[in-house]
Amino acid sequence: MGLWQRIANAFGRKALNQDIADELAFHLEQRERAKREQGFSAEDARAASLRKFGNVTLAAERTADSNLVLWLESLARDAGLALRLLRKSPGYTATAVLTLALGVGANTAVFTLMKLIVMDALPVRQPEQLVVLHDSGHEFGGYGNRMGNPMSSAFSCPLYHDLSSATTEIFSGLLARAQGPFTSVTLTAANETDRVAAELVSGNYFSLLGVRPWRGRLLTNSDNEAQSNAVVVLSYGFWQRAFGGDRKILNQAIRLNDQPFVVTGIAPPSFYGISLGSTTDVYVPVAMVHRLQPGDQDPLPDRNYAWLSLIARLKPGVTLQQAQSALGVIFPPLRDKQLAYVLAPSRGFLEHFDRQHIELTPGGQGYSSLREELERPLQYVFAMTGIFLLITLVNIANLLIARGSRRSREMAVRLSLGAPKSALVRQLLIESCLLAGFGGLSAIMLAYLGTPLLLKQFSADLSQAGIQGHPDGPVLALSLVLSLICGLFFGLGPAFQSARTKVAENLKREGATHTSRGQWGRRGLMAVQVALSFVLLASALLLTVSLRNLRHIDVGFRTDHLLRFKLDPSSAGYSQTGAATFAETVRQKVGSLRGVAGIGVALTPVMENSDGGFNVAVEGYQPPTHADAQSRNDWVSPSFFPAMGIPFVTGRPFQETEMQRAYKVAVVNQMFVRHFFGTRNPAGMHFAIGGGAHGLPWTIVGVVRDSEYLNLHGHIEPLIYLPYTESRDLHELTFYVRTKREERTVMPEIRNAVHRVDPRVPVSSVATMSELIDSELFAERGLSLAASVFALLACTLAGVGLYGVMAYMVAQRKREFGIRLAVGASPRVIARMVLREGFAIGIAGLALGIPCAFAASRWGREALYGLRSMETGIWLAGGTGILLVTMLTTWIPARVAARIDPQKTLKDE
Amino acid sequence: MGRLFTKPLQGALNLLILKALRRGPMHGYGITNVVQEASDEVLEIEEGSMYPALHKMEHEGWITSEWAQSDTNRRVRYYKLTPKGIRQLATDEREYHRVSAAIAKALKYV
Repeated sequence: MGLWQRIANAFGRKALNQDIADELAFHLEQRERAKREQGFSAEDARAASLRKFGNVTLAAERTADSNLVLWLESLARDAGLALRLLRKSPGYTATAVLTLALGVGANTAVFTLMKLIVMDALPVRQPEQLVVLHDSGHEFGGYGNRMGNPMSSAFSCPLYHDLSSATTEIFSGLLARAQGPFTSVTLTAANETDRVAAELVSGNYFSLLGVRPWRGRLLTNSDNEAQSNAVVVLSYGFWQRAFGGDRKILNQAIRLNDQPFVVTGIAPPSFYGISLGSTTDVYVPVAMVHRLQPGDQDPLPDRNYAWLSLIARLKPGVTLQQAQSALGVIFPPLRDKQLAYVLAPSRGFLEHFDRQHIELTPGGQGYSSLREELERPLQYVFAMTGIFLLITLVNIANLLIARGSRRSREMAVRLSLGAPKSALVRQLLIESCLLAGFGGLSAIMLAYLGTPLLLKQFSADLSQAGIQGHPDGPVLALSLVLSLICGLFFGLGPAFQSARTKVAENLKREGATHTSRGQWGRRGLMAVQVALSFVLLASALLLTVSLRNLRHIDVGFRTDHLLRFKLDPSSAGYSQTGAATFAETVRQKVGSLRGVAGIGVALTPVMENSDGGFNVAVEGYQPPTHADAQSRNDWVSPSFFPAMGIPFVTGRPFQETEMQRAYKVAVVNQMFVRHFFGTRNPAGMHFAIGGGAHGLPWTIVGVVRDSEYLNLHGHIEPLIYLPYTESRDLHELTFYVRTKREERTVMPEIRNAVHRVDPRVPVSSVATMSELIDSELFAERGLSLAASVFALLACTLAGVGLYGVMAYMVAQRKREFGIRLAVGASPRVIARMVLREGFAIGIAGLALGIPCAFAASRWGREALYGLRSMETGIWLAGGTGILLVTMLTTWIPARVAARIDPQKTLKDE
Repeated sequence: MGRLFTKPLQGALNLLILKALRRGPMHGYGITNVVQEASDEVLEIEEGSMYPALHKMEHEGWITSEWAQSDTNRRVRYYKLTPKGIRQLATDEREYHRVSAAIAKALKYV
């Protein structure tokens, strides 16, 4: 009975029982016939035969049982034997297990990350019912969309209420949230101040998402009233971090931006908000926005202020398409209501406005800029782990073949002693399954420990938000199954090879000079492994050089010795003018510190994906028909330019006196000049913010060099710098300090200086510009690091594998080398023969690998930056690296071959 | 040896089955008849326990089996000794003679 039949028997006793029944029935029939021939009647014959046999059913069952038990017993015996054999060659076992663990473990870890960031739905009730509302408008003068960020459609609060009451037929509810200008608030507790991340949410936020409170109560619709008591819900992580998980904080007031808010409840630990990758510490009702910013104009009734993003839950049975077409009817009247509040719309604006509608997209995953940023890089890493898995499999196949041929003598002996081939095949299969099992378990361990590290590398925010990223049960089970499949697959080859073994052939002394088929197979596999390793090595080199290019990209200002920190005087109750005075005092105090060369202020921080902008009317510029003239802007102090190291092309910065008297003077960048003036001289030209119906009050006094504004690879756009004292929106001020020493060493003095000005205003978001650029490059850095690690591992595996192949080759051809040496070949010639073989494998691998790597680099084009001139060099370097690895690993076997003692070897033969 | 089926006379049963199969391939019923006839009807194999024994011996690799068709159109399972089984038979026979000689000697003198 074969192994498969036995397994079939174990799972389906029916077939086996049929066999046994047939066998016993035949026995009884024969006995019966014999009795009848002796003269018994048919009935008596039957009774006698049954009597003689005993209990037929019992006999059948005992026979069947004995088969199953015997099979299990022999399985255990074979497994024991396999274990002993594996323990006898620990090097082989460790290599195979470790290789498989690395290959499968890496895949599990990266897949877990992909699942977490790209595939998983929000941790809320029935996430598939959620839809995100987008207004479809293009950019048109700041209404609706924030410029340049299509994902974050924003709506005004009155429009939210209008939509909310008009869509009760299609939505079970509509929630609003804002993270924009109110992201950061000051928490005061026991005379300590700290900045915390706030999310403004509508009262139905938690109930609509189906999030239950961990402690206390979450927000309700009654919290939608501006007059109701100020309340706040804490995130679980923040509750632990700031209050040590103390329950007494419930129903107590905490001070946010110096205003009292009563803590009503704690959100559950699994809930991270609806934006993966952004941390929320406190949830404040949207209706209480004005209490956070009492000095400001109240944004709640403002129809022109679009600041809320909206998510709806579809009513059961309503599809996204149905809701979409219903909105086509519901929205236009609401839209037209908005029009009354738009000042002096241009024709182009009106045309856009009329085309505006609401688009729904599935919202089960929430919003996540992190997901968008990481999706492609993670796909690349996943591809790399795929290649790496292939490499490990090739490596294991090679190991098993090597072991198989080393054991071919053992197999031949066992065959000649009468062992059935099936037993040998089974033995080999059990062995590889055991290896796969151990490999799988190690892989699971590796993935479990490694994924959090990987997560930290790719997104520090997520690990800070308390997301561990341990792979879940199904993923782990999957990786164990994957290992077992690999084990079986690669166990089968050598198993059948040994099953084909011709006894006589293998009992002959090994050491024939011919190269057997297995040898060629191993060389082929080795070349494939070299090729795949080259793909990884080349990718790693390309990505690393690309990262270096990105780090040294010219952003238009000096990035070294530049420190950033933020202050929000309004959160300590400063009025607009008070805030300006506060900022000036900080500027003077910090500017006079010994380690500081310059300090500037900006309202829109640079390189943080924040932007501001407006329509402009520019002297002598006629916009193309129907289009609005737009420019981005920043509000800065005159000292901003020297502190950042942004040079003036012509003109001058605005001066302190001009700022005090509110002269409307501005500085623009080169792109602004190119766009609006062309070849005309911009000096002294005028422009207006908005449509220009009331004259052109602003005067351009200077032009600065273009510099990056949104982020590292943003496009340069027209940009206007205005005196920050002219802004009516002085909340979070970003200070840029040019230091004379290493940035961090100046920080304590700066903190002290700010503390002396006003201890109630916390210094937050301290970072150097290099750190900022680095954090901007987190995806690229993670990608290049992952590629480097995999390339290193791949080359190590290739080296070990090649060493194994060459060493085996030398051992097999010992006799041949001995004879050659005996007839006068010099050891040098022998060594060269071996080296040449290794070199041939390396070259074959490269010939296979270069086209693959080239295709890979085309596929991953967008991850590569500024490489055009260097690519050839990188290919050369990669190729040289691979050949170097081949030569180094072939060198030892070559030396062994050269040192063969011909007399001793031939005597042994 | 399968621990689960070790009975006092198990060794003897195995020996008798192997010995019977020395004559050539035969089915389970044939084995019982051969043993019975050869022992002048003295030894009678307990038929119900012979089949588990046969399957176990097949598992040990001492015998192999294959299916054939009987004249009554039934599936019949024929058992056959393997080289391993022949060696096992020799060992068992030697062992049996050694033990029975020892017992006979003991019966004589004790």
